[in-house]
Amino acid sequence: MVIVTTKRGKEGKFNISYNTYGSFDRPLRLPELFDAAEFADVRREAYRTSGSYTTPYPNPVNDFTLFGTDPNVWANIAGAYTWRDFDARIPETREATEEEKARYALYGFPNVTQIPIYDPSKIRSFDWQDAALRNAFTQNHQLSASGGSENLRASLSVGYLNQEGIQPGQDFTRYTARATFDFKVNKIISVGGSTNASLGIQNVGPDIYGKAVGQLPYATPYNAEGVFQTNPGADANILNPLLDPENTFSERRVARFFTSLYAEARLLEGLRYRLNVGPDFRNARNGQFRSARSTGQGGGANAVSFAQYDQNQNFTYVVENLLFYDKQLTADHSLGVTLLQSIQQDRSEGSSISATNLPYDSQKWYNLGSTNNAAAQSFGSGPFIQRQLMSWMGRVNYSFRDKYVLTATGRADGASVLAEGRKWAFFPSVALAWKLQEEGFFKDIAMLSELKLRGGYGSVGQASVDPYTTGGTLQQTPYVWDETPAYGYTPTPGTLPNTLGGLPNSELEWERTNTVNVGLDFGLFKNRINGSVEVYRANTTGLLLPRALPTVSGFNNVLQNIGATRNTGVEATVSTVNVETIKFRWGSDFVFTKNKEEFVELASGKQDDLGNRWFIGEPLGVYYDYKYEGIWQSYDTEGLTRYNVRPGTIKVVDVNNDGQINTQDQIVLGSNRPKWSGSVSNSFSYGGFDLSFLVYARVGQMLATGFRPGLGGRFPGQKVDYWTPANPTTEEPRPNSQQDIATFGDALRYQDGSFAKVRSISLTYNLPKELASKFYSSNLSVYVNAVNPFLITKFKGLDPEATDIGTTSGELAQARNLSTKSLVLGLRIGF
Amino acid sequence: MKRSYRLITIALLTTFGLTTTACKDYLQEELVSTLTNDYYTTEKGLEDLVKAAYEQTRFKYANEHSYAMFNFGTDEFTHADQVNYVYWNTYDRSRLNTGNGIESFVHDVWTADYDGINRCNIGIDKIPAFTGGTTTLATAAQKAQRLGELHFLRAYYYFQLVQQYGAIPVSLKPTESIQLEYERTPVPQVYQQIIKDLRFAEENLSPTSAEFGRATKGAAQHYLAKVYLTRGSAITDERGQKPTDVDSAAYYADQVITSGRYVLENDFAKLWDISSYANNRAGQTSREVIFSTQFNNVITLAGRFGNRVHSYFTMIYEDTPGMARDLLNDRPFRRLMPTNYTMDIYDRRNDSRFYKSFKTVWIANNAATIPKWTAANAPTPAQVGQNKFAIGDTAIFIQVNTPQTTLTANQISRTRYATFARYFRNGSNAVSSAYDPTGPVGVRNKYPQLLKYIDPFRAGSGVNEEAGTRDGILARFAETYLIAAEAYGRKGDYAKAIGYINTLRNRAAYKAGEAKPTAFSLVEGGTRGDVTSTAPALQVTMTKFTTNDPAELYPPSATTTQARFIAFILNERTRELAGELHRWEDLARTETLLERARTFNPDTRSEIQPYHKLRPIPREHLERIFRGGQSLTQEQRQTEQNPGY
Repeated sequence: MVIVTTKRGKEGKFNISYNTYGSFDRPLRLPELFDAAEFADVRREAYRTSGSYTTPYPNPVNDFTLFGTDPNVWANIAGAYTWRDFDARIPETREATEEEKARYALYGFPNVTQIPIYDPSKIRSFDWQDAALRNAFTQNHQLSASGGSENLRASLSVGYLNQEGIQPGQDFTRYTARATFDFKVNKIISVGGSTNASLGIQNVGPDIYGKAVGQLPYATPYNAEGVFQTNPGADANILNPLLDPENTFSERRVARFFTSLYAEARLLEGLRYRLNVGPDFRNARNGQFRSARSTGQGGGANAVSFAQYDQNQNFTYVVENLLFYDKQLTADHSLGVTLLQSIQQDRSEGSSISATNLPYDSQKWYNLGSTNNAAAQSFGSGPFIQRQLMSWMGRVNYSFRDKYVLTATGRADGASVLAEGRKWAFFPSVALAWKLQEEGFFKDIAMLSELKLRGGYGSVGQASVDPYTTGGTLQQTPYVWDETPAYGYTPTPGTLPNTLGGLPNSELEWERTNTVNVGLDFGLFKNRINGSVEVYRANTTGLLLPRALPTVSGFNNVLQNIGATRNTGVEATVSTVNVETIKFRWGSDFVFTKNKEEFVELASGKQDDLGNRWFIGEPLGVYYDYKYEGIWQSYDTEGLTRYNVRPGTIKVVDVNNDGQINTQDQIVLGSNRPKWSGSVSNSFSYGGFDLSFLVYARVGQMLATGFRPGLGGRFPGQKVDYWTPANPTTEEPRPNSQQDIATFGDALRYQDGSFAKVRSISLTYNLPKELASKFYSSNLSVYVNAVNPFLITKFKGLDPEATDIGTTSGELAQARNLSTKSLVLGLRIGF
Repeated sequence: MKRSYRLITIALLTTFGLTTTACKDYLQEELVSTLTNDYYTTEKGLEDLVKAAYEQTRFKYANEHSYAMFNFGTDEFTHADQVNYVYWNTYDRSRLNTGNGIESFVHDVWTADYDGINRCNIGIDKIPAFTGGTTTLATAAQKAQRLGELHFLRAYYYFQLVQQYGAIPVSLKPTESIQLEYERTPVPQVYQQIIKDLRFAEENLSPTSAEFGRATKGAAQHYLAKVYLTRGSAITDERGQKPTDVDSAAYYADQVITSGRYVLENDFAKLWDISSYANNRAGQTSREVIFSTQFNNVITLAGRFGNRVHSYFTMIYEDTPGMARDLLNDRPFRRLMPTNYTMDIYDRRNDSRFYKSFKTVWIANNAATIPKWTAANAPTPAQVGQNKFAIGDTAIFIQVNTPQTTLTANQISRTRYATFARYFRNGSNAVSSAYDPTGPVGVRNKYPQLLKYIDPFRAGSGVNEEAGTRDGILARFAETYLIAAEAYGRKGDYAKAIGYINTLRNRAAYKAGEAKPTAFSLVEGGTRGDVTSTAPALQVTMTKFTTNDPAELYPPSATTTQARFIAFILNERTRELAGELHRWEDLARTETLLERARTFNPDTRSEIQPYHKLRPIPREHLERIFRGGQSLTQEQRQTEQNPGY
């Protein structure tokens, strides 16, 4: 554990500082969706494909079947026609143009002459995305005071953050209070510590954006009389989310009290003893409420409300005993020794209760007992979880003439969660550094200000295992005999999402990573150019992963030390001071990282584990699926016959070319691990002005879009170029109302996720001292910062950086989060 | 200063000392809210294990695989206008063969059955050796009873697996460490094992149980009859069939029938009575029910979804004037609608089972949307502007008429309620259909809705609650009659078969004095107020099998007395058991799936192939198993897969 020593009181001087900023947030990027007229065409085409839309052009009779259920939608669509008899749905017609005739012939209608007069530009679109988003404002305030005397230093600070989400109904508020003190009792003993109290209140809200992108663009949230439409478009599964911010709440309230205390004694010359104690108490409460009018409860006259109250208490403590010994043995030799013993315990418990059909909404989750059902919907406590860690560590630092530095460490770690007899493991490491610039032959090179070669070999362990997994856990099963509860207990099969099977594993042990690294630190021209390059290879063995099992065993998975991976990479950083004068400074920082992660061994040696989607030579988290090859075209008669497919459907690669597409044709398409990433930042200062900007890039990774491929004509989606008999594109398949998700639609989801982002452009003005003093302050600066102003990517979808990674063994990163871009205005003042 | 040193020394010694001595204890895990396998060394633990072994019988009703893998793709039902799992009905090769979107169902059912089997295996392994019981496992007889239940359940799970997947791994020992090497056991051996387990169960189970829902001797006998009949039905399939199988089936079915424990409900409708929770429960605990998986209306006992099948047959009604979504009428999932075969295979006029199995009337529940008469359709001018009907009146009527009784547009517009007719003349006088299982999917959202799962007793989150409360009836006494009849008929003893069939027919008929549904006079040509018995009209005679009776819609291959008899039995199974999730297995069992699906299911016709009599082995299984310490190669996986996939 590291005691944070920044922002503590300084001796002698009393300081007050106040930092604040306000931030205006907007979505970074929104997908382009079909507009109303376009989606009406998708819907028609989908039903054309399945045979129930009878003309290759819009006709009011079929349109009424597709759009007529909601009178508002029908009014909108019908507005595109010129009517002869509205009630009988007979439109005025006109002669089809030659171009249209040719187009309809491709649909198999060679003799079209008269077609209804239809003007799609008359169809109004409602921008649901826009309605589900807002300009959000964030404010942050931090007030701190610090000071001290020779023997006592102290600091106090309080903070307040209020962040609105860009979706209505989402926000986050945090209050913090912190105090530190350091007290020198006498020449031998000093004590100190810090306490941190915080309260965070997060409204996760109803995710109306996610529902809004699923709304029909030709439907409106309110009808012409201003009445709210529960089912705009009259599809039972498409519920209007725009009232959800007042009807759906999901609030997480976390109170945390975290203390770290120390006592230190100088026992002898060079010998110190230190005791660190860190208790950490957390209480988290989740409240959920959905009123009867929320979309989550299905809407409609007969829906009822729902509320849930979960609370979880967590207590963690760390106790560390440390002994330090530092000794300059001779002029050339110096020695440092550190001994550590530490224990850590983590304990949590909780309870949960939910109820439905509550008599009034204002109570949210605060009065579940009032339910009209006279019974809870569900209730429970636990699980009780406790884990312990214990460590012993010894470290020796030896340096010779401050040129050669050796660090050797040995640590033994024990974890309660591992199997009996395998709880403990020893992790040694050794590091060497050679300060070349101290050598005579380099001393004469004037341009060289620093040159250090370093290398090491070290071993670390990881035991992130849920408690009680080694013994074979049981799970309660619900059943009844007629009306009598008949709960049973079964070995946990691990079939529920994100659960692990309860198969006993008496061999669970530490995962170990052995890393060898070589690095070079350099400084040139009085460190005007400095940086470092490091190459490493990390071999992980005994990899702890949930492994899928054949379920014939009764178990779906087990946590096991399975296989080995290797990470090989290079990290380089260079900082330069390009210009430095008294008034002007220009500095640049470059960071480059490249890592290759690969499995080198799995359960059956050097063999791929297809069942878990683990492949030798590939990283964890690959996309394994059919490879998209285009759209079947009508001229490819041979292929259409061979694969028994229709034109306009998705064509995937027949890997083994056996004339049928089956699971043997799935391959590793790529992974979400980048080939490389890097950043460039530049900062300029002139007088009191600082200007900086940072560009970050991640290149070569594959990414799945988070949108479901929806060309079924029922649920709208991202605007795409889809196939029709008259538009033989290779981008997307023909809409088909018989297929909610197109066959092989997933193959379309994988894209190059490379991107470059301007992370920030920041301008700060530090007022001159004399000006600052006019505000009775010692320093005063104001700044403006554009956060994430630009994103450059070919990825179609949301932010390719904001990805979700599944928690199961078949992880699949998807871009499905709304990121923000912000304009921040801030002030820092000190007294 | 000295004192400081002393203090520090004490602190050092105590902390180091304490932690060192407590080193081992400190890292011990203490089990508080967690139970482990050790629980199964106790009497209570084993008792709870047996209860858990029943849980996976619920799985058949727990999710959409219920209809998708047990009723789709047959002659009985086809997909309605929601197309979520439609490929199970169409046998779409691009889905079934590719693991593209379907893998979860194939693997889910497989996994649930084997999970159940492992629970049984643990008990079968541990109960015999258990000693020291004081309550439920104290005597040899008590242990035999529990072992009988576990053997029964293991047979149930394997029977489901073998019918769906064919040759499957047979595992009879509990899994206590990581197991990866599994071989498929040929189908004949699987059947032998199932029969062995059921015979053990039959010998050891008590005829009754104070706890309704536990396996009984009668349940074992019913399943023995069904398993023997299944094995004995094989024609080209190799199930290890023996000439004596139908005798055994007849024998065990007769054991159930003559036991005196089981009774057919006098009124077929009593089985699905939803007039009150008590009446609903009475139907589920009827003496006609031999074995059922247990649910009730306590949400915390429902498991993930309870009996969720109630949603799947539901048509859309809330878009019709006078209707709003409510608990009784349920969420309109509209996954399945009856085929023309199912609508026509009933003698709808005389066989009460059609209108007692299908809902055709919806009662108005939404005053806000009740329509008003207009000048165009009002029967009398005085009614113009008046509400057509009131809350509690019929709002929707599904007319199951025939081409001969096609309605006119005028007739439809003049009904107070919304009429959806199977045959009507539209504005241009062409014969049209308001619901047509052979038509485009778009006109498949109103239809006669199977009512056997309708469940207004769902507690919890109100109208949208998914967890259904009805028991899933797995073995019903009427089916025992059908098994017996089929077994005797297969033996050539048609007289005995006809006797059993007519027992069911007499129950199926409207009784003397029984009020008939409105449709009897309105649609089926009966006389209003007629309360005479229809039993005489329903009597089956030998001519059903010796002639090509058009009412039986015999498929082309049914040209002999025996073939017509089998086809008749399948028809009768529809009439009695429609929607009870037996159909896919019945057709696969009788090797009639291909012909009947092609003949009667318009959506299945184009894609179904002979190999569809088996489901694909789950790809997860093939990808996860080892052979000789190694994963399977691509070729090995293909060899291990069922043909065609």
